[in-house]
Amino acid sequence: MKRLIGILIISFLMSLALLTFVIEDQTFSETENRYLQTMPEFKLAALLDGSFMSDIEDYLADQIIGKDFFLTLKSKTEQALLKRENNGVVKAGDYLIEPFIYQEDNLLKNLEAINEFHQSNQAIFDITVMIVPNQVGIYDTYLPAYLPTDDQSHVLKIIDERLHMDTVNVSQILRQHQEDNIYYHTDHHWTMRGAYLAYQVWFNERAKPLSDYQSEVVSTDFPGTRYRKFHDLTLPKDTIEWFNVTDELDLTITYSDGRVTNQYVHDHYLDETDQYRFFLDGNDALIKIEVNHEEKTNRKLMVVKDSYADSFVPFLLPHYDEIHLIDPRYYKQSLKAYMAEHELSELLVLYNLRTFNEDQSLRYVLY
Amino acid sequence: MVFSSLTFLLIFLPLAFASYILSPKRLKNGVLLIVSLLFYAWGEPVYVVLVIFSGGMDYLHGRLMGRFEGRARIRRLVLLSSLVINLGVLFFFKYADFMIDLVNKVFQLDIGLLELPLPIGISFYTFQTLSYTIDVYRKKVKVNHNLIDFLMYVSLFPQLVAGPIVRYEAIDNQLRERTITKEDVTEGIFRFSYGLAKKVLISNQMAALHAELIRLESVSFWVSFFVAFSYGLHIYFDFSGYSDMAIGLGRLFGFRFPENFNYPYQATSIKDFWRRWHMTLSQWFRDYLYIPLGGNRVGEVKWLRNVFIVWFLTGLWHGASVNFIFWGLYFGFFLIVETYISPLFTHKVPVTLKRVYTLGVVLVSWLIFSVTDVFNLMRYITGLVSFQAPPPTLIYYLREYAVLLVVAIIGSTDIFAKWIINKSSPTTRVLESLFVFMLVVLSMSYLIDQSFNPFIYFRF
Repeated sequence: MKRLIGILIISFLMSLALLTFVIEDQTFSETENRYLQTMPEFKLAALLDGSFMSDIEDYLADQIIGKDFFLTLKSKTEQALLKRENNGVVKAGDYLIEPFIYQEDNLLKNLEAINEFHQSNQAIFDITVMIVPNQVGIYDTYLPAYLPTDDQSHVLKIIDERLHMDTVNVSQILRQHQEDNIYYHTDHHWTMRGAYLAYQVWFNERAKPLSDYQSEVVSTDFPGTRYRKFHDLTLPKDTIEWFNVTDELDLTITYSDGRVTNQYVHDHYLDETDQYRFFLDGNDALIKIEVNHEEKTNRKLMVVKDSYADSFVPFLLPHYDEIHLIDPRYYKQSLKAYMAEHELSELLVLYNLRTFNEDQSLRYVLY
Repeated sequence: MVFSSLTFLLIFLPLAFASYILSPKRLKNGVLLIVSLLFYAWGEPVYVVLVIFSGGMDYLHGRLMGRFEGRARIRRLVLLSSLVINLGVLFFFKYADFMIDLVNKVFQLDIGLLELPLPIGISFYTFQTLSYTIDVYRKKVKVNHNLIDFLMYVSLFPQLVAGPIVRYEAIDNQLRERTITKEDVTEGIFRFSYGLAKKVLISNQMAALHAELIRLESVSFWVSFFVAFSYGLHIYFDFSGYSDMAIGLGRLFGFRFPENFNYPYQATSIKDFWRRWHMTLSQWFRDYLYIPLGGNRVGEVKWLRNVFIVWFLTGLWHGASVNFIFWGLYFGFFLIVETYISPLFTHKVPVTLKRVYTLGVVLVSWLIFSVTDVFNLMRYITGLVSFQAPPPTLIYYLREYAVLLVVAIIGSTDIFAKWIINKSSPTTRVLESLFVFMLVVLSMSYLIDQSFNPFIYFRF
């Protein structure tokens, strides 16, 4: 028996190696959403500085046959060892959550930058700030006891107190509706249901009822960002629900590379891993949405945002003629100049708290 | 290259083993030499020259001593030359910066540091080659006339980077004559698999736990205790896992290497601990330093001096840093105390009490070993006498790692091994075999996931 297992172990390792080399390399991982190491090219310099060797190791880790099986096995083993955390993702109830570590210095700098921008431009711009809590802040009752994570309500309170302009406080309503699928279970974003609640808080009685819109489940196999990190492929994937706000609207959407479309949503992303891009394909420096209402609203909005805005902006479309979206991670120019040029006076700064806490680019457009 | 890497497991090992088995007998040592140099060059393409130089030098010195068989003075000079070269190389690569730094601080100078990367395994192979020249000098072993055999001994990849320190004497005959039975292969694979699992499934996890715990800012008894505890488990499973892998690989290629660990955390005194922890190192220091200095068969003062020298150097061997010297001397101190109060260490004292004492001393030693700066070390040492409720984060991580901690604690005792041996029946053999296969598959899964969070392997 021992001998048999000995042979089994050797053949197991050898067949893994053989199959990995024989089977064609993947260049991109759908599940991990990143480029993979392919077979490194042999170069003498790379050999001498050792990078050839580390590339080989990365190659094996990336291309190994049955990778999904092994990663799921690892995830399952961790769970069997009663660990609730795998690769920094914690399983809390039905949700995959990442702890929140408050970066006080950075966040205060962001607040200061917004205040300064407001201070010097309050006569010309009407500024609103909306910082959205994350799952870790809303589902705190599901969190493992003593999980090292900072209190998001506390940080949101600081934000409220420190900012000198209007803030939209969405924590309370999100908390009240926490069982209504307002966040994805395996992804770090909120859903359109969550975004609608925030819209309702901001627009009050002017908000259109959600029942006005037809709801459509566009995907039931969305592996969220945390699904990919936690990597237990036996867990259910996420569902993406789309409230058809744009059906009766005539849109012209212009991307920074000049691409123009009249569709807010992009179905082909639903066949890929990063299905959240279905909404607006929003990872762009600058997106301009023009809405051709039969009756002009005479309102234009500037949004400085992260990807949470992509499921939120649809609800705003009935209220504006133009919405300009800037993502400061990619847009590096003066916000003031842009707003002046396009005659924009209303500004919404929309971030989720995790990004706002870590972001170091916002302050560089606020001039 | 490290054993616990995919490159080693999936490419190197199968190819090395196959080429060794398939090559004709007279070429086997040559093949093993090439394979070993490739293994070393994989991690240190440049320093492979150093290994060859080191080995070549000792070969030459051995031959010289053989040549001047009857001439004691020349032989002594040759030995001296070998010691100077070997220790000189070791000093240059491992301790030069440490000394320059020290001189700079004492004399307020600003001599530039060399900042050379440490050649992997240099402390191990230097001690191995030294064992050869010293033993040739003492006429305990015969001069090796085959350069390939000798270089193969020096660079032999299973024990090259992290021990055990295989003395020349121990495998002299095996260099020329060895056979591989089916049992060798099976036992070798099993031993290797246990070692791999110890390293990947336990040591790496304990390292992760330790990394979380040292981030805790307020240090009290429980924090200090578990920082030391997790480190103790990490280093034991890392190091003994590596030794297991080395011994297993050795057997695959027909070698019998000496054991290096014998359940050190079950030791009943510090003296006992060092008979169980990194055994090949303590034996080396005993035979090549302590006994030549006179051991304990000298006056009290000289004996104290000997203990001091041996433990000063044992500490320093572990790394070029003051804390390692403290660490060595700390053990020296307890060994002296134990000798003076040896009447107290009789069988009348309950074994449990002796073990608690030993573990306590060893745990504190891990703080000295792992915390390199004095200020930080004092935080943890003073923390040991500050009794406060454990911080929530500590509770979280202990809960998170609870099962693994229990597995690690049981795994560091001989309970499992005893069970395997005592209950040896067909059923247990089947169970053990399946268990080992499971360990290999799990180790692979964890290694593949390391691409998300790699661990840095420490090196002496």
